[in-house]
Amino acid sequence: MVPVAWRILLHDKVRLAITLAGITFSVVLVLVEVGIYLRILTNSSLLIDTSDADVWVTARDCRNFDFSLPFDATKAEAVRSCPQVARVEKLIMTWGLARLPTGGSEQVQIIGFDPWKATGPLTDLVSGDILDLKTPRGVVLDESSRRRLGPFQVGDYMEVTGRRVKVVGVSQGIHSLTTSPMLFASYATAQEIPSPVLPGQTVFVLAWLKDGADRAQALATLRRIPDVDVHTRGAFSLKTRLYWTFETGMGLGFLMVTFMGLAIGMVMVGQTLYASTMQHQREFATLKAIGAENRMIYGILVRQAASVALAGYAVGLAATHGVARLYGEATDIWVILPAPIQAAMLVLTVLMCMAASLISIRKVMVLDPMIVFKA
Amino acid sequence: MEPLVQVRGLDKTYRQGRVEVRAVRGVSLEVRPGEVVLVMGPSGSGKTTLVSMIGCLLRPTAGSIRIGGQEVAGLGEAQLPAVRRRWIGFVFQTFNLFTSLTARENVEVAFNLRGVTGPEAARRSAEILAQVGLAGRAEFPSADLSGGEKQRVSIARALAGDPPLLLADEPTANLDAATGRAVVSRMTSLAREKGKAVVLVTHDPRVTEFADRVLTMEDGALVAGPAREASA
Repeated sequence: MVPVAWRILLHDKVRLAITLAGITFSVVLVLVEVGIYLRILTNSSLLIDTSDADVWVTARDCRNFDFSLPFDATKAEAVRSCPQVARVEKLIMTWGLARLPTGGSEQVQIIGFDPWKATGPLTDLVSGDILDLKTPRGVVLDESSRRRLGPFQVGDYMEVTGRRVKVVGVSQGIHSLTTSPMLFASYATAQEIPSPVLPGQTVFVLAWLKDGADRAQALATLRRIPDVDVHTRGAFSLKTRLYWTFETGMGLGFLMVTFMGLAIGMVMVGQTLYASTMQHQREFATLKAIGAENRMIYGILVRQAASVALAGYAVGLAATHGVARLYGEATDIWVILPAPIQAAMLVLTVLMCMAASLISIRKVMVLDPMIVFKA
Repeated sequence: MEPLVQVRGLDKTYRQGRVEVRAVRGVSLEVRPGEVVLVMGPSGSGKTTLVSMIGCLLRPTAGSIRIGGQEVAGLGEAQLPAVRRRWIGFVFQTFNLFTSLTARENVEVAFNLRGVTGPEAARRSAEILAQVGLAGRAEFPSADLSGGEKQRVSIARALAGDPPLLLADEPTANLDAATGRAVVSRMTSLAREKGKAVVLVTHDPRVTEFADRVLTMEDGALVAGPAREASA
């Protein structure tokens, strides 16, 4: 078969370039938006997801990881007394101000816990040893914090909310939702840094259940402890993600930008395909006149739409990786592009182009083959 | 010999606002295989409307059209493409070639519509192009061809699939006199050679010599019967 669809597309290279640019723009906009959104969500629950605790105990009505009120640390003993619980750790999450070498200050998120072993995101430190957190006022900072805090290395000292701390380790790939640097310390060190968390309080209690323990029964028992909420790790992670998605308007904002990206792409593709159809309408009418069924002509338009969708998607995906890299280097927010999202975007792009071709199909449906006789 | 085309009492009325325009009124004619019939007449006399109805591109308001013995005037929209593929080849005033395709591909599309694809379609397209004298131009983009060459590609496309009837609407209008004569000469000689009926609508009196019969239309009707019987 003569590939009429592609030949018409390739015939007007400027129009094709504009169409592909529209799709590419749309793909980049949507993928980068979704990728940033996923990264932010991942960061929002990073410490929950990378912990291996089965249960997170929080203050009553705690809505997410970052905004959690402290509560009486003796609740940890109540958790420990649950027969299904094997181990309990307290964890402080609070905020402090780090003094910069320049004299300014930067907000830091302080995570205090008892470092009995390398765990979660702190498994692989770039330098130093997690167990050195046990030394008085030892802290671990993420290497990405250098963007905010200036240069530092193991052995350096810095001041956090009036307390001198020593960098004993450098981690990598740990980012907070707020992009504030994260400072890991022992539970005792975190308590020493002035913050809303008073002596005798904690912010979270993490519990590990015994092997083979009845999970539902354990949760039911723990939920009898007054004035705290008990979440499984997955539920607390989801709660945190949902909070940022729905309570802050962030999700709606990303959804709107995604929708706009698709709409812009659809309008551009629709406009250029329609213009092409109008330009070639005499050829389509000729096809009808010489015996082509309508479905063959629709097939040409659908193939054109699918072709530009696939080509535009391929260019868009490549461009997205480039943009994501540049964006990550500029902001330290590294766009996440999981394969299912890429596949979904491919489907969306094809659907978008198909929808955009409908207006052309409608034009051809009502095309009068008599125009073949017009001079 | 049985007529290939039988038209009886053909009428076409258009509505233009509140006004009804009878573009074709009571036309009857027959065309036999191998016969070349010229339809002449002034602009607006209904020639193109008549050929559009015979070509199954326009429905008559009244009357009958039989092609190859089959009544086509009452056929549904879905059945007409098959009739056109089986019976009719079109040659247009403005050629109506696919500008993005080569000369051969333009002809090949017509074969594709008839289920002939791949190398076979390419071979047969090249053969027909050779018959219209364009063997050396087969792989040229159609946009780069001269007017005469384009019309010959259009004729080759009309001949693809071997339809028994050729309908040509003002095939010489966009060509200079010599080229126009050459194109019509080639089209009619090929048609006679292959036993095809030709209905040729034209203003051009210089091509009457190629016709077996010349019919004249005025105000939508054939006037004075056959204007000229075949000289050959």
